[in-house]
Amino acid sequence: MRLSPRRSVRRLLAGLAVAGMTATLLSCGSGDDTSGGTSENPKVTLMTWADPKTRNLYKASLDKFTDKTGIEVELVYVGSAAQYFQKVNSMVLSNTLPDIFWCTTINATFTPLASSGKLFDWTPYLEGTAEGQTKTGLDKSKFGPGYLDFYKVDGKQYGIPNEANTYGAFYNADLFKEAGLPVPTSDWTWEDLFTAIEKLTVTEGAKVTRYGMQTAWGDLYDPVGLSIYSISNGGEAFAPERNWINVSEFSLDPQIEAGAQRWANAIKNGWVTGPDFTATNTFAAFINGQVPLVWGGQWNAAAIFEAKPKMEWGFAPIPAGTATQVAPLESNAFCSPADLENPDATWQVISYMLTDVFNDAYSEYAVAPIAYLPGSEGYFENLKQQGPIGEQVAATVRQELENPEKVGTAFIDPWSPKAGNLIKSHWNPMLEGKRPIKPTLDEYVTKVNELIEAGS
Amino acid sequence: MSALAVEGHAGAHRARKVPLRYRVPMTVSRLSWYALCSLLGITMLVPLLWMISIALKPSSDILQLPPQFLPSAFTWSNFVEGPQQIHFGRLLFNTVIVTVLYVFGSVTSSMLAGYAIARIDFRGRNFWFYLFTFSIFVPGIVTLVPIQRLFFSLNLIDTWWPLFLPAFFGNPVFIFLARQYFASVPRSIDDSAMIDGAGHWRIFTSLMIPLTKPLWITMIIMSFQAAWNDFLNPLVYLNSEEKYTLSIGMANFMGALNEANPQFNYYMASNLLYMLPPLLLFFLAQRYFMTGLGSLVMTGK
Amino acid sequence: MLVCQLMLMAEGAHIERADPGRPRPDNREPRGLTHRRRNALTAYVFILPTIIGVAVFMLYPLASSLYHAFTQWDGLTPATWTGLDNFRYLFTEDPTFWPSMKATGYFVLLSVPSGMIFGLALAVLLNRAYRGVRIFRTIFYLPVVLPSIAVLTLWKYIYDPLYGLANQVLSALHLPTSDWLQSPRMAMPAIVLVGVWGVGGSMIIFLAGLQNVPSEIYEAARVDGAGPFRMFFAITLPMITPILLLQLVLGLVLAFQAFNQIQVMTGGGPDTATYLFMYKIYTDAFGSYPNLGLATAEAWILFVIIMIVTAITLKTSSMWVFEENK
Repeated sequence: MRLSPRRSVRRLLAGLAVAGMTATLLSCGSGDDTSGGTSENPKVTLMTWADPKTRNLYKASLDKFTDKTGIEVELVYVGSAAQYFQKVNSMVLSNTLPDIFWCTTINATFTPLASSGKLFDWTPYLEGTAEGQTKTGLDKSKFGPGYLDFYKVDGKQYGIPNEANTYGAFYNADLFKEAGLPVPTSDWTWEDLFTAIEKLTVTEGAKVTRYGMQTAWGDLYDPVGLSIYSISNGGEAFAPERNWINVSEFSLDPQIEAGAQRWANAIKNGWVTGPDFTATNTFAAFINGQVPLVWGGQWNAAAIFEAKPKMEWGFAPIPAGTATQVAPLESNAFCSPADLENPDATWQVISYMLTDVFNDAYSEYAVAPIAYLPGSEGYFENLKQQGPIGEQVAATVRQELENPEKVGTAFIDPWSPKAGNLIKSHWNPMLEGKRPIKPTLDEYVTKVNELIEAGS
Repeated sequence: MSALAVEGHAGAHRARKVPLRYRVPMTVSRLSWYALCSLLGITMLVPLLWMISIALKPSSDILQLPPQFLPSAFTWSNFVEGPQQIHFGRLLFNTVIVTVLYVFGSVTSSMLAGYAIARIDFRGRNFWFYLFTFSIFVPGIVTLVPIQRLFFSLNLIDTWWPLFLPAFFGNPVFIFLARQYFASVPRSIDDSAMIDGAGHWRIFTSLMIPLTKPLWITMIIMSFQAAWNDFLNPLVYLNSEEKYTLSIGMANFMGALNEANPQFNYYMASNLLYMLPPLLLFFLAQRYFMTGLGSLVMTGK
Repeated sequence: MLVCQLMLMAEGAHIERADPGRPRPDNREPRGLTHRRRNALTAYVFILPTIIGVAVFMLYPLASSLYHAFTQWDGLTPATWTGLDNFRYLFTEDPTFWPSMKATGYFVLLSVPSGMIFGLALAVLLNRAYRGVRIFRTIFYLPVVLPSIAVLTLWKYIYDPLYGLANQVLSALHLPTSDWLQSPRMAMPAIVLVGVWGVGGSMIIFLAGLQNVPSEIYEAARVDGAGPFRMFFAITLPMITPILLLQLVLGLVLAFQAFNQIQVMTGGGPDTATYLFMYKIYTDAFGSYPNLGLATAEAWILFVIIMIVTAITLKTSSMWVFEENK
């Protein structure tokens, strides 16, 4: 039974009309329900890039908050963290930013917004001096050193730090003992590190079959990493501004050059993986006991614990130099749009997240410690439940969180993308031995200074 | 139009090389053909098989090394739990609506334009044709930001309108295909219809549409895939979770910027479900798809 | 509603005429619209949506982005005019611009011909009427349907030099292994290889073309004693040149805009070996500090390059594309 074309066209049109109406209804439907809520039950929207499991944990804890205060919290997620900035950007342009969103200095969800006045200034609330502010349990003095300043622009607190990251080396204690090396301690030095990676490398003729250390993150021999190396050995970073905010000028400290020489040599000999190494299977290999050292961040510990490796292992902090030991300054933060509707309710949510939610959530699933130290207790508790290794990891993380000698882990000024281009063209080839060290470093400093001058 | 062209099109069904049911004895050359195809086929399938293997693995297996092909336990529940975590049902519904509207929009607008340019003799037809196909060469990135701002200023953020509305305004590749296909339909059909008093609209709807089935089925398949897999537009324009499409849901598994390991098993399981509709569509409409594209052989540019 | 009225007018007014365009027997103007005008009206109604589309979604954005290419713009505050500054930076200062151009050129040179050759080869292979050929066709088309991010992530694991499937298979067969995505020499070919794996889309198009070559020609050639190779090169290939041209042009346009593979698999490395231009545009636009003015300038450069390359391809096409005698 074939319908005449006319009738089948009509049917098609009818079906589409239904679809179209449904679409319109659904599109318009929830338009009114977003932020604000009612004055009885204020509603606060919170946007995060967390995965489904973590979000569920947040929700469970936030439900308790709603019971206590009557403030409803709606968790919004972005499809993928990789495109998080695009999402925030389009929300800024269309004026639809949620009340709270995760922001970070690393990917431009913070600095450009703060500098152009798009963010809410939390300073009065943080000080406790805002009009009609509901008192919360948040104590400003309990933030780890350096974190609050990191999210200030022109003296105004535009971001409230939350998750903090720490870096170091995951080590396989069994392989260390096998090679006759002492296991890394909390104040081990760069000398210890270089000795270890040389001894732990295994070669078959010209080919490296086991690297002394695999790099699963940066900040080891990139400009930030070498700045850290320099400071810990009594030298200076590339710039006096250690959080890389409003950098005045770059200069080359001899310790940086020394560090570059050491790392270029290590890369050449296969003691450590090069700058273009992608750590696709590194942690899987580590768990299987095949990798002696992995340079990475504390968040990888959760996956290692889950896989229950059979060996002894640990997490050592960034090594100390002859002068001091440096820790990384990196955290995410809570940001709010400048035209925030209900600052008081929003502030209560932020405070509760820092004092309670992270503790509740991360005691189940240890993702990251919090820059607000009392909020890290849940995270540490979870680690401790993993036994002595967990305690050791927790101790390292705590050490780095509380260390006042901090260096930011990324350049964030407007000139930073163009400086980033220099990494590809100058820095990495230098480490790989394709360019001479001193001239390349000099050229790098000159070029970055030109960019800083141009202010672009 | 030369006779060859007419024959080529109208005789498209007769121009098959060999009827499918013609029996050919199992010669050596035939066997080696099967062998070669199987070898290539397996190579093509390995990534898919591996996806399935990951999808069936329990969470503890994900980081094993070297990766084993067979899961230690066939966790079929991943196909239920994974999708559940991202509210697959809701996302599926959303994606279907958006895709259907998109498909309808691009097919109809392109068919109309293709027909007009190919078969209505009016001044400027070539100009418009070149202008329309020129769009093919404009990289999406050039027009991305201005179009975004346009939709924002129209207050269409967090609605589905930006996802399917542009489709209703013509698709340059489809218009090109349509024009080629329509150009190969014999004029005699138009002429006899006009003698009977039909106008272009009548000709279009009653005659051309049924006649050009391979063409619009091809368009349906291609636009379906485009809309189904579109990630950037939903990412930019949708804010509320309940309006998200499947592509965004998938991305959420790859999760955090620098946090714990992604749940690969759920991710692969959901992806396998995600890819079934376009695959099914292709499989069912294969024949039309190929005839639709085949028209390009017989007409020059 | 207006559209419907126009349609009816076009239809209703069209009562007496049998053949548009031929001179009338009595040379009298009919009532209402003339044929040409009626045709034009209908035609414009038909193409109106596309005209609007072109104006709103192509011409206006082109103009707007052209303006922004000459500005410094972070996407948040109003743009400031900087003239040729962006272009000057790209052509003379940016250390990654020319390497990126080189990488893109290399990619296009590798991927477009290989895609077409393999696509055509597979199409020829599957242009038989043996039983089960439809299943093979679907299998070969499968990679096209798989969601690309999932697949690219998988390939990244396959290519891992230490534990990936590729090297495991190679060493099991006692063949030399490679660093794949981490080797400056092999990174690009590795990426192109993934594209070749996904050549099913092209294959189907070629298959369609092959099937539409009328069998009479082959029969005539067979009568003349031509063997399969001769038939392929002397008949098949020339007959499908219009499709080859289409695939070539579309392939070029797409290859210049390749992005996903780089974002998932290499991030542009090692060094700048796979720093495709589209990826560079994305990084410059949405990197640590947004620079949309620069990114727009780059987008326009890409656009111009695509135009030039396609124009050359089309201009030279008349030399090798078989065209109908009209």
